[in-house]
Amino acid sequence: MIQTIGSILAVLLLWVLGWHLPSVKGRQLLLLIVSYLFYGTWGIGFLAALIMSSLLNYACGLALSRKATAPRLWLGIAVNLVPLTFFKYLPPLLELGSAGSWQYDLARQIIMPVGMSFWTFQGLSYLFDINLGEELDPSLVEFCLYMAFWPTVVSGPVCRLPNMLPQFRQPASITWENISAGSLRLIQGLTMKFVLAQILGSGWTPGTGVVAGFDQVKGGWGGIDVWFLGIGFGFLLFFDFAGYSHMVIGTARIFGIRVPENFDRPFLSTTPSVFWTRWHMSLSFWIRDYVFIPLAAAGRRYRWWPYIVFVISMTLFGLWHGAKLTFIVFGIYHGLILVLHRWGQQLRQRFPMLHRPHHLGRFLSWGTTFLLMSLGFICFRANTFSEAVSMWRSALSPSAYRHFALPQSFYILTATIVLGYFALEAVNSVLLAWRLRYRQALSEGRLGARSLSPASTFTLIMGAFSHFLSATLWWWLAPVVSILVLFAGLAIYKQSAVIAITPFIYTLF
Amino acid sequence: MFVVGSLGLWLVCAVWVVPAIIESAYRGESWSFLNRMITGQATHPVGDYLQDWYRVAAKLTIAALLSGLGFWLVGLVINRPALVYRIQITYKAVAILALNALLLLAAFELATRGISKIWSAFSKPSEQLVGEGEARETVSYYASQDWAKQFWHEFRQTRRQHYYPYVGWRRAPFNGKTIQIDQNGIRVTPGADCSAASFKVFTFGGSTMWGTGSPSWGTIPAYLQSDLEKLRRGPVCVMNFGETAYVSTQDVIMLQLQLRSGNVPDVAIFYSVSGDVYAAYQSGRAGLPMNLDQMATKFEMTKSPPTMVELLTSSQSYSVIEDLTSKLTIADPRQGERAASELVTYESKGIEVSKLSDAIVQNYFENYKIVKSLAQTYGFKYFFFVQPHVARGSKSLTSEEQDMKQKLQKDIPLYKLLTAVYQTLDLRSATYQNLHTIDHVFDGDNALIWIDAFHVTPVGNQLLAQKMLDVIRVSAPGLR
Repeated sequence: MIQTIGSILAVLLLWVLGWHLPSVKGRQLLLLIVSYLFYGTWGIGFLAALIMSSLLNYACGLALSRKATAPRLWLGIAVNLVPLTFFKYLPPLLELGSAGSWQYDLARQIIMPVGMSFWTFQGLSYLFDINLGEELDPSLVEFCLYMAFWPTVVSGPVCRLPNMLPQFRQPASITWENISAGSLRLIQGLTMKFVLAQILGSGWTPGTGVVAGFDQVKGGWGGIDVWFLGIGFGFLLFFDFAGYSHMVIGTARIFGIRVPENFDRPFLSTTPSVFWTRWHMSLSFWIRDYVFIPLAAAGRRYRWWPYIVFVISMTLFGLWHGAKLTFIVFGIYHGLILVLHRWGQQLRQRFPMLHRPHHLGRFLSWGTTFLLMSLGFICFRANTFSEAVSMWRSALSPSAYRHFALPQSFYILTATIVLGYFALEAVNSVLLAWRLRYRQALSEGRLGARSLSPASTFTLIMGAFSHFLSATLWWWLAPVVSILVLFAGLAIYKQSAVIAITPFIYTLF
Repeated sequence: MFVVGSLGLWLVCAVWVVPAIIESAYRGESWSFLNRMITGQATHPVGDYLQDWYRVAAKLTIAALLSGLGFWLVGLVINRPALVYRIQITYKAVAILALNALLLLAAFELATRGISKIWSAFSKPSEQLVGEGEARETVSYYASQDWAKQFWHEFRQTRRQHYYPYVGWRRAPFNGKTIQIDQNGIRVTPGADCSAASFKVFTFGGSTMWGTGSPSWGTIPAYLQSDLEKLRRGPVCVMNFGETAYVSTQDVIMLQLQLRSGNVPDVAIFYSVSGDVYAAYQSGRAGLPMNLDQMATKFEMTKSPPTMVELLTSSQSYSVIEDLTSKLTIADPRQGERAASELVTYESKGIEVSKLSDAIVQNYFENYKIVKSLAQTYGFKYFFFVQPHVARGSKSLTSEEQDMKQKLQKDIPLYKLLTAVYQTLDLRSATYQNLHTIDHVFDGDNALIWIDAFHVTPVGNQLLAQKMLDVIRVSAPGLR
């Protein structure tokens, strides 16, 4: 523990030092060393793989920028996909052999470098961008820094060089605004990961959470159980990965670097296609830009072709998570849902009578999307495909709704957290709207008007209060955080406990 | 810039460079002067040395940061003319933050107290705690005993003690269904007829003689009473002077108090030793009562005022956060090792186990001699029984009893002292005619007898009482 904290402190201090170096090149070099030091703590072999991949990608990029040809591009793709296949997709296939066979033993010895799926896709995006004619001229150090950038190297978000390169070259920008915004994201991420995801995963009492719901109950789920597990796991994954993303984005932001967003309130999406612009955005946009759009353009003569491309793209999205049947089916499932959604849109255009009143239509659309996504998470999390099928069958069979296999506390906890999340989002957007009205009234000089109705007055008072809280954020948030940290630290010390750190789910991919 | 750089380099050295040097020196592969600095590889893993280094490094880092801060402040005072303004701004910020922290803490405390009151008003009353939550309350034996729940509930209620002259404490009077304690703090033996003409047997000892884990009818004195009633004509009075945490000296004093008041027994039975061992294990000295520090604190009224941490931890806000934290944390796996290493025992005070065990046994024998003299003067018979424990004898232990034995053996200082004392007693007891070891009393029984390392079920008490009576009948044939 002391060593881990020491490593992070050392990295942070060197990072601060690097950020203050007057020479841009010197700073980039020091930041690269810091990133390598950080990544090297997982293993020198992993670091060697990352450096090798960076060098090869850089060389391929140079070759492509001189003359973009298909063989050169395919060579670059092979440089990325061959190692990824070897480390990520080969072991599960080898493990299909019997235990004790050489294939099985070999599979056990192959360990995928941490974050390989993420930095491989970053390398690929660089090559694709150059091939598409993007004028990118990174130095070797800049490119290596882009590949190894320490906040994102472990689990993304998947960055793009055109976005990162100007930031690596800009002068130092540690400002109060960045520190404030970054720290806020960091706190948000820590709360999501270490409080909400932890409680949802392990349950209010040990062994009564989502994890146990999937791993300990072997068959016999009731219909309600399956829905709760699907919704619960969706939120668990969201809190875990979005929490992680907040931490990464916040840390980078403190130092003035803006990495791409990864989540944007995905559970408020009203259609499946909107959902995929709000969930794991850096990957879904990658797939959209480098797989969907080029493939769709290639077969645009055929009306059915985009539907095929939807399924191919989403299958690739699922496969990115690993060589498991459940991930592939997860991808196909979402591909088919997107196809159905597109058909639905076309039907509505053709038959206007299908239109519902605005609010009801939106609510129904949201509800359908939410439930379909939750059903999809079952396949993502199930231990085997047959388990997923069994759970889906329970969800679709009316007789299964009389049976409950999970403890009562699981339903209460999941419902509380999910409803609490939506309530918080609702309060947040209402306050935001009131704050806007207050600002508008302030700018128009309507605050003192006697003609205001009681409801408008209330709205303005609440807007003013919300504005005050927002303007004095750290005056109250810093004491709140300090008190909570003090009490939690004291409790942990007195209970002789340690924080139950479950690994981030996406570090497994 | 320089400070940040230096600190960065220091951290790199502390986290990566020095540990690597320690590891190589531990293996004897570094420079000879470094190799010589590390000794004791046979007993300490390399992790111990690394932990020591990290502790030192952490202290040095904090010291360096604090001194750096001090120098920085001094530099600031010397170099900046607008310092007063800066101090004003900083003071204002700190004051606002501190005030806000206090206000928010007060608001949070009020809110948690309010919610807690509302919650307790509407929630169902929680089920009454049966016992003290000890593992012994749930051993398999009690599952089939319909009196067990009632007993452990009453046992918890009888924990209230009264001051008792010369011996420190005895239980407060209690009249339950399974436990009855009279006005003198003596556990009542069912059927005892203590009229003037009765045959009086006084039993002395700690909680084992008192009957922890057994209702009134299931204690050693109760079985002695019923067995003696069968053996003798006329009234029999077995008095249970046993009391929790008593050592042999307290037993002797209790006897003296009875003799002084004219209450002379026909037979006095002493059943102890483990209390003497445990008291010495706690204090590092033989012949003292148990929990001496607590008693001394009460007597000297040396309780210090509550610290800031105690004040914070007594708040409702803390208990809410503590509750939430317990959901997010797991017990430190090294907690057991640490607790054992942090416990103050004779070992941590540097006292040798052989010397301490000799002193315990010597005290025990001196008490024996005192009782012997009293017996001669007052004309009663006396018997000393060395109390067995779960790791003695050849009983085939059940899996639950195996766990109890392992738990006892895990407390290494206690187990070492216990073993040394019993070995010394074995060696020297031959010269004490009325001292008996009864380690093998449970040997033939395969069922669960022990409820923890020292206490037994009523079945065990019955076997013990029979054994004692057998010994008494052999030594005093005229009992009948």
